[in-house]
This record gives sequence, C-alpha cells and structure tokens, in this order.
Amino acid sequence: MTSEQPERRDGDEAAPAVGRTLLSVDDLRVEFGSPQRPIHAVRGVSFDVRAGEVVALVGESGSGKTVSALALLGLLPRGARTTMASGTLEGIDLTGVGDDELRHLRGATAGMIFQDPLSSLNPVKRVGDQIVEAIALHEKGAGRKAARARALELLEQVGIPDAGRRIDEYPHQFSGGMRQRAMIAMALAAAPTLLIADEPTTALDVTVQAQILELIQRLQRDLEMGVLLITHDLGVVSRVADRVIVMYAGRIVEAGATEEVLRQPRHHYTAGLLRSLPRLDLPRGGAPVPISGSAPQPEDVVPGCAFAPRCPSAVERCAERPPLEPSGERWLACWEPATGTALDAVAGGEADAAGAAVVPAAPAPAAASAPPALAVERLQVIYGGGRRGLRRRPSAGVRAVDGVDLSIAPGTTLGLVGESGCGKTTLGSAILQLVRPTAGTVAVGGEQLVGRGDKQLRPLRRRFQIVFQDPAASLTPRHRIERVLSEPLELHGLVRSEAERRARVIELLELVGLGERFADRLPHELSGGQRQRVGIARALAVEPELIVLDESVSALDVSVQAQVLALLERLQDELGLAYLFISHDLAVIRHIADEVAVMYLGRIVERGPSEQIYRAPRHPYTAALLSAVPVPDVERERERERIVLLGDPPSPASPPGGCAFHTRCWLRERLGNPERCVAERPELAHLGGEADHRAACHFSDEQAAHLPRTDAVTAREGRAA
Amino acid sequence: MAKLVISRLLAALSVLFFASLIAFVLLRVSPGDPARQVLGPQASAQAVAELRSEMGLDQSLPQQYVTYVSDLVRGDLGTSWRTRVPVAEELSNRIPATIELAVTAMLLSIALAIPIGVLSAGRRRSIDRISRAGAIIGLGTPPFWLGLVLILVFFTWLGIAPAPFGRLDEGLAPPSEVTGFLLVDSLLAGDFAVFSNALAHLALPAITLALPLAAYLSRIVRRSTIDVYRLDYIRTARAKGAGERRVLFRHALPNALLPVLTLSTLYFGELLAGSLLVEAVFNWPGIGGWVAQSIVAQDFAPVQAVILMGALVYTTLSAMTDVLYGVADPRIRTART
Repeated sequence: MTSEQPERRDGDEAAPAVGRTLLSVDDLRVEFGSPQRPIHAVRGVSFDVRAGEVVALVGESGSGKTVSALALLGLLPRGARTTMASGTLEGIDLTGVGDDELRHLRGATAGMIFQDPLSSLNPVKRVGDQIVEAIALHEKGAGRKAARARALELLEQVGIPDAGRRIDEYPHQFSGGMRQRAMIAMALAAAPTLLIADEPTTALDVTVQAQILELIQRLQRDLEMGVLLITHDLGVVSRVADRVIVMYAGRIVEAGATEEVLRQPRHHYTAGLLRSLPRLDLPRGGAPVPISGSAPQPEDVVPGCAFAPRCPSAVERCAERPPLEPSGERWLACWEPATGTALDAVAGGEADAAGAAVVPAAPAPAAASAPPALAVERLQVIYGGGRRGLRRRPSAGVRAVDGVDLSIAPGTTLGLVGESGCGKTTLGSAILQLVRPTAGTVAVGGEQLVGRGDKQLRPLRRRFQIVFQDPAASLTPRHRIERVLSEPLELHGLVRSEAERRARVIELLELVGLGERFADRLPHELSGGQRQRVGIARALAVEPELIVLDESVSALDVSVQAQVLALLERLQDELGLAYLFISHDLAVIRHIADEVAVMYLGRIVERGPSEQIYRAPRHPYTAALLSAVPVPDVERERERERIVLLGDPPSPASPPGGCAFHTRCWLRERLGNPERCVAERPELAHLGGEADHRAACHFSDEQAAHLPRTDAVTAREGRAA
Repeated sequence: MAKLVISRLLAALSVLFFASLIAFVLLRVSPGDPARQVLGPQASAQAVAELRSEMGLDQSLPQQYVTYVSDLVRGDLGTSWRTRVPVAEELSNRIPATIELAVTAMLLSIALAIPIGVLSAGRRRSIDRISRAGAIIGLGTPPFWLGLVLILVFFTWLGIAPAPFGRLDEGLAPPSEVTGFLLVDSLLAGDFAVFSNALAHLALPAITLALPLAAYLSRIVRRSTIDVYRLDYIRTARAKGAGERRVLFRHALPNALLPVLTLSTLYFGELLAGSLLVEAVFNWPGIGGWVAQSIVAQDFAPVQAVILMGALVYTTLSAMTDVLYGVADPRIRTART
C-alpha cells in the first residue's frame, strides 16, 4: 500500500467564480473492524473543494464516497479508524483538531444534508425547533426570538410555502420534498461555507428532485458556497457539478471537469458506468451494457488495479496498481486509458450487444385468438371506504387505484411509471390479488381472478408471480437457496421425486446465470445482484405466464442493474414471459418496455407504445416527468429548457377535482388556466393514428406547440438520425 | 375522540366481566371448604353445613354468581368471613399503603434503570458487563428472598433499618389522615419525625420490589438507546455541531424512552403482583399481605374484590398509557386529530 503516492491536485483553475480552497484532504484512509482483519472503506483519497464550485463524488455502493465525507467531519460510528496525510477545512488542520473544535466546524463551517430527510429529522421535535437549535449551537448570543425569526427566514429562503405555520409542525407532517428543504435550511442555519450533500435527491421523486437540485444550485450561487455532492447518479452530476471525482473500491480512479469526464471518459470504469446506464437522451435500442462481475468487497486485499478483473481492456500491467496521475486538467489512475467519447463507448456497446441481445423490435404479434397475458378492466382499490364508526357514516376512503384498464400481450412488457404515492404498487398488488380490489376485473391468461376465494385462487397463482424491490428483505435469511427455490415447486406439486426437485433447482439457477454452487448458500452470502437473480428464479420456478416486477432493479447499482435487465430480456425471449414492470425510473422503463402506462393519483393518464410516448408525450405530466430526468451529458443538460413542476403530488386521500393534475399543470398555465381542467375530468381517450396511444388530457393536441424546444429525447434523436 | 373513549370503555367493561368470572370460578373449584376453615377442625358437621348455607355455598354456582354480581352492582363487595369486616372498608384502609409502596418502587426502579441503561449503552464495555450481570441476578432473584436478605443485612446485622413490621414504629402516632399516604400526610402536618420514620419503613420493601424491575427495565433502556443511536437523526444532530450531552438528552433520550412508556402498564401489573409476597415479608398493612392471608383462609370476598380492582387498575393504566404516548410522540398525537 506504500507504493501509492498521495497526490495533490492544483489544476482546474479555469472557472472564474471558483475561489479559495475550502476543503483539502490528502491520502484519506478509513478502516473498520479489528486491526488484524481490517475492512478498508477508503484506501487513500485526495481532493479539494473550493468556494463557489460543486464537486461531485461519484461511485456505486461500497465505493467509499459517503464514508470519505463523514470521516472528514468525524461523523463515522465508533470503531472507524480515520487517517490522513493532511487535511484542512477553512484553514483549520483536521489532523490535529480536538473534539470540541471539530464539533464547532460541523454546522458552522460545513453543513450537511443526507439521503433520507424523514429519518434524518428528529421525529419528536418541531421542524422550527430543530433549525433554531442549529442556530443557537453556533451563535451563543442569539436570543430565542432572534433565532426563531432567522429560522423562519431560512424556511422561506428554501421555499417552504406558508412557512409561518409550517415552522411549528413536525417532520412527519411535511412531504418528502419539503423535508429535504427543511434539512437544507437546517444545514445553512449557521451560514457554513461548505455544504456536503450526501445523495440529497436519491429518496425523492424525479419532479421533486429537479426542484431540490435547482434549490441547491441557487443557494450555492447566492451564498458562494462550495458544495461536495455525493451521488451515484451521473445524470445529477451532469446537471449540477463543475467537477467530478469517480471512486471505485475506496480509491479515486478518475477526476476532472464534469463535461470532459462524461463526454470522454478515460478510465474504463467510468466508461463502463456510462455504458451500463439506460439513457433517455440516446435512441432506444442500444442496450445498456453491463459491467461483468461485481466490485471487490472492502475486506478484500486488492494488490493491483481494483477494476482489472472486470475491465475489458485489462493488460498484464494491471496487476500493479496504477497511480492517480495528472494529464492536463484530468487525473487518471489507469495504465491503458480508454479513448474515444462516451457516445462511441455506447455505440461500441451497441455493436457488442447486437450479437447477443436482439434489439427488441415490435412485439411478436400473438395469435389473434390467444387471450392477453393480463387484462385489467376498471380496476379500483379503495382503502378505508364504506361505512365506518359507531354511527356508520359513509366514508369515501382513499382511492389508491381508481378505474384502471390495462392489457399485456403474451411475451411483451408493459412499463408502469409514476411517482411515489401514485398507486402503482397497489395496482400491482391488486393484480396479484394480494390486495383485494374493490371493483373491476383482472384476468390472467383468460382466467378471471377477482371474486375467487383463497382456495380457488391458489392453483391459479402458478400463472403469475412477483419479484420484489429489495432482494435481501424478500428472502428468508435462514433458508438456503435450494430451499427458497424448492418451496414453490413443492407447494404446487411440480416435482415428484427428490432427484427431480434437485435437478429442477439447478436448472433454475443456471437459467438465471447462477450455478449449482449457489444452491447451498444462504442469502447473506450473495451480492445484491445475485439475490435478485434468486428472486427471479423463484418466480420462474412455477413456470408463470406473467411476472410483476415491482421496482425489481431499483435497489441495484447501475452496472449490476444492467446485468439483471439483460437477464430479464433473455428470459422473456426464451420463455415467452409477459412482464408488468413497475418503476419510477423512466430510463429503465424506456429500455425494457414495449408499452408504457403513466400513472398519477390512482389513474392512468397516458398509455401507448413506448417509442411514441418517449418521443412525443401527449400528457403534460408525462412530458414533465421526462423533462425532469437529468441525463449524463453536460451539453445536453445545459441546452435543455426544463419543465419544472411546482409543489409535491397532492395526497391521494383528497385528490383535486376535475383533472387531478391541474394543480401542478404547466400546460394549463400556458393556456391561460382554462376552467375546463377544474370542472371536468378528462377521459383516457384514443389520440387517433394507428397505434393505440391514449392520453387523459383535454388539451393533448395543443401540447406539442408548447413543449420546450430542445428536450432530451427528441433533440438527440434528431442529431443521431 | 369520543369514539376512542367509548371503545375503550367497552373494552374495559368486558375485561372486568371476565376477570370477575375467572376469579369467582377459580376460587370455588379449588379444593377445601371455607366454612370448615372458619369454624376450625373441631366443629361438628352440622355446624359446618349450617354455616355453608348461611354463606350461600349450598346454592348452585350460577346462582351464587348472580347473587355476587347483583351485590357488586349495588356497590356491596361482601364481607370477610375471616374478620367479619366489610371488604370495602378494609380495602379503603389498605389501598393507600399498597399504592404508596408501589409508586415509590416504580419511581425508584425508573430512577435506577434509565442511568444504568444509558451508561451500559455507552462506549465502555465494562459498565455493560457489570450491569448485565446485575440484571441477570436481579431477574433471577425471587423478591421475597431478596426481602429476607435485606432484612437480615440492614435490620438484623447492621441495625440501620427499622423492624419489618408495618409502616411506622409502634410508639408513633400516624398523622391525621388526608390522603392516606403517610409520606404526604406527614408533610402536610409538618411532622418530619413521622415522615422520616415512614420513609425508613418504606425503604426496604420498596427496594425489594424495585430491584428486579429495574434490572429488567435497564436492559430495555439500553437496547432502545443503542437502537436510537444508530438512526439518521442522531447523525444529523452531530452534523449540526451538537455536543454528545446535547445529543443524548435532547435527541436520543426522548425517543429512546418511548418503548419504556409502552411497557409501563405491564410493568405496574408486575409491581402489584410482586407486592403480594413482599408485603407479606415486611408485614406491610397493604392489600398484598391481606389478600395473601385471605387466599390461604379461602376467604372469597377479599380475593374477588382485589382481583377485580387489579383488573380495573390495569385497564385504566393501559388507557392512560395510550394518552401519554400521544403526548410524548407527535406522530401519534397529530394522526388522531
């Protein structure tokens, strides 16, 4: 480990707004566990953040990006050992700093915001009091009244509507976006010069993410702060970061100006990451190319380049660790740097993938007589409705799913998108009869499910299966994989003998790209991607026609996500499966779905062929969603005129009347707020044309004229063509 | 809110009904003859039979139950066969002593458990080891035995504790009764001699009752403190620049003590059950000692009354816990309104 020389980076003085160095760290290392068997979370990292710039620390889970930031401020749990050759924060030496001084630096010099704003706020304290506390901690003289006035000012500054009332509410009364705004207000309370934002938008919906990113950018400019942004999302990076630092297995592999790094990645990991991302700004068809294998664990000893085992261009020399060295404005740790641009890389990937995965063309038209794999009509789920209480007063309840029609042809994929709370998961559960629908019908392969009792339903359950979001939580921790896969076989009496059962388990494991050796393992011995493969194998065990994939790749790192997506596509081709793919991720949906349905407050607002919806969305909500997704291309991000929706999605308990979207609709505003949107609920109407493209908007014909001129998908497709 | 109160009341009534039924049946199916108990082994069979009929024991069980319930509804808890004193009168004389003991023990155990629990959740392993050993011993020790040991050490050997008989020394006149709680009444009367004597008498039985519960509770506080310290908002508090003391008192404890509150109903029930034996050991003139003697004597009325009262206390406390929980946790408070 001594071979690595700590580097000091003094380059990139170009941007004029960038000022003095706020944070500088040299050869930061963090270890956990016993000194005999240390776990290396960070293996020697050096970087600077200067006033007025946004620096992004990018990497997948386990890369050490969050640990690095927490370590600098002494926020790691006990048991962590942090060392650094040197480190300064606003000129104060971090290596010899005492506990009290470090405590004062936190908040006063460096404010922090975190991923999950709900769990990061104290549930039993009022939001205002938590901000007042942050002020009082650093301004001893400030009176209670002055601090409260300042807290109110901060809440207004971060855009909390009706702040005077909200200041006395509790965190659970805030929506997700407002909570993150409150967190930001708290982080800014003592006027720090550096803001450390740890995955600040990962837990938020995409339209809310756009608002929060805009807020962070605005505050950064107004207050001339430096921002250290920790994220896994290259789209977010391209939208807000001036410089990007790419981390892999506890080390920096590449760093430089965001635009340069994303356009022309030099490290094969960065290039691979860009290639494995399903993208909205490129023509569909180029399948994301997964990076094979998985990242080394922090407890592993990595002698050479940590990425070499997964690198397509690895050479013999990679057994020796490449130092992080400057080349012009860039820093790079690679013996055989990649050449060409990111787009070449993607195009190359397309060529690679062309052999293996057939570009999903129009779905093979099933025989006209074959029933659809799934047919849902006027499906409705109401929670808490009916007559309640002693006086049996009727209550409207919450319409989680309100009159949904869907159908999926055998062997095709329907993508269901929507923000949190729109009812997409409830819809999935109602289709599987895990939640009993209040009204409507669900037929799988022509068999009606609604109205059957549990016993009658059981034999039919073979025909539809589900794969959950969290692969760890959906496997019983004490069951070996063999048992996990045997259970459905035995429940449905699909195997007659012990030998047959074992053979089928192995066959299933091989089908999902795992081998016989995984049969005897326990879930915790598997990586996230492997666990999700087991989840898929379990669903396949009973040979279903339909699989509901509920955010099934959302918890995975992008390089692994691409692997699982490729697996799902292969299985669909081989087994003729139909998928209902539920996700909040528009890029993933675009990649995998033949048809797309967009859900808002329990209703489908737009439905149609994937290609059409992404190229020319006809509902203003769909357009806003597409516009909100950041793409990993700085130039594109800069040129784009974005639609930013105001506010949060309304509560499904009291949806707005008329068109439920009218309270946030940008199109309505541009059309001069027509009364019709409030008075009359638009039906999901056929838009004409050959394809079955429907939208629930009174003014869907007028949308095209008002769409921002250069939007991600259309612009790039024009250029590519 | 009204709906909540009504459903609570209905639940409480059904609990009371079942408690009275179970107490009634269990006493009557247990072997032995109360009339024989009252008259002694020398009495003639005829005398016993006459007394049985006077007690109503010759009637069928349902008939007896109807009589019992109709008396109950009129506020008549019956009369002790053993002492010939109406149960209601005896109960009201004895309740203050038991409540004084139980509340003191409860406060003592909380006062012990919170600091011990928090300290053993802390950085120093040695503290946790000691408190864990203490907890195992505390939980494994029968309270009456602990009481006997304390009497042996502090009264017999060291002579610093008063004799384990009653709530005051023989010669002392109790203060004029206002609340029935000696500690309160003596303070109201300004009689500090009585106050300190009552406190001294209270000390050993209260400690005996409190220690096992403190042992149990300290482990809960420890676990819940450790859990809360892992949560994100603790990290947020530190990131704001809050010191460790502030993190503990302002952020961790208010959340960590919520589960302790939930358990307090269960916990008070334990205390009442424990007081049965402890009062007997210390000859405490409360309900516990009295009911213990009544059980042995097959004196039905006091036992039935105490079981019913226990159920009443229990349901009241659990309703109070719900309300308290709402006060302590804003998530519940606002969800209700």
